[in-house]
Amino acid sequence: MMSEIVVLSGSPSESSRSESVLKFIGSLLIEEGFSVTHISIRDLSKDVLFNGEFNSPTVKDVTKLIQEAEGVIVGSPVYKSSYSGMLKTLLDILPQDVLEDTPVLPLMTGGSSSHLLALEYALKPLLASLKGLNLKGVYLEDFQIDKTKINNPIIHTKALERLTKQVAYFTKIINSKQTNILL
Amino acid sequence: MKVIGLSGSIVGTKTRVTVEKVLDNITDLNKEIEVELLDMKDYQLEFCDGRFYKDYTGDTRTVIEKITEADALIIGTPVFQASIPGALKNLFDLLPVDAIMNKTIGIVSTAGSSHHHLVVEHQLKPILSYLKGMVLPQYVFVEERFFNEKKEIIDGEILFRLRKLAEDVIDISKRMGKVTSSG
Ligand SMILES: Cc1cc2nc3c(=O)[nH]c(=O)nc-3n(C[C@H](O)[C@H](O)[C@H](O)COP(=O)(O)O)c2cc1C
Repeated sequence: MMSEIVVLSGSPSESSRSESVLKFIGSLLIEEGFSVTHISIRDLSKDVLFNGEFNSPTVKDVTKLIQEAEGVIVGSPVYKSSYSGMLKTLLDILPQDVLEDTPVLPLMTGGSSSHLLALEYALKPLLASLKGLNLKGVYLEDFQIDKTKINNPIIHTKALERLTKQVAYFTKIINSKQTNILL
Repeated sequence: MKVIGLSGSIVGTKTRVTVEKVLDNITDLNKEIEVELLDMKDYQLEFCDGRFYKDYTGDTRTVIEKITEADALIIGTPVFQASIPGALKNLFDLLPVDAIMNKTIGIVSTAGSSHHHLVVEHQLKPILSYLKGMVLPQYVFVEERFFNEKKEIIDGEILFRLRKLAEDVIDISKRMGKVTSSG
């Protein structure tokens, strides 16, 4: 059975490192037979986000996609030692339990290793408050990523190992969850 | 000296009322100090996408400059999804790294219930510390029940603490050499 995975990219940047990694993860998941929907914060209406228009059709669509997903991957650049404000404007207008029962793989990219803990102290608590089931997650530094390499932007062997391991763990949980439901 | 009261809510009025209360107290304590309310509701900001801050125009540029030029700040935040609003985080994202360096910062927060008292401690303060602000350790958390129907603060203890916050902001700014004999 196919399971829908939603990938949410929280970078406001046109040419984004974190998004290039998310697209790469998406391609790995498609290879494994999952269906993947990619949502980029940049494709949503800026007015809807800034003004918090939670009743808008876009927000309703995003909510439905996330609610029906078997697993969600949320990515953000580190901005000022935390997630991007733009990503938060979307999460602010989603229902408080939008990630209920959903395994969530958090991902962050940052300019240096100094803000590794933004993943633990900023992004994960936010996803947990939306009732997501956080996995360990992945933090990558800019020097480990070459966003122009579309097929695989991760140019650092150890980082790639860490990332593929986390993705494997994510798919394992989704698959076992499905088996349990079928039993 | 100039104090900016930043109301970080684009929806309700309670955060603005609380920030205004602190500003009124500052004026009451020292008429020479210039105060200005900066209500995020009155400004249409762009999303931060990593551009150099001087490349932003209009409201975005105005708000960045007002904050950069202030000597001290009162920052008011509502609680959204167990953290600060995305719109407020976006404003922090927009600021140049030294924008609030050595500025005294007093914090007030509003929320529906007492549950999220620690949001300021864990979500807001780390960002302000990263931005090198001189953040006062004590903040005032105002629950919904402390307002009457006209959105006035009616609780004596809260009013006392908001006045104390105003005193502390002036006192610390003085020690930082920001208050001159003419205010
Ligand atoms: C506004 C802004 C703020 C940033 N703040 C931080 C920071 O606090 N810590 C950090 O490690 N990197 C910081 N960076 C660097 C980005 O996190 C890093 O380049 C990231 O990989 C960008 O991801 P993206 O290309 O997907 O947007 C910042 C970048 C921008 C544009």
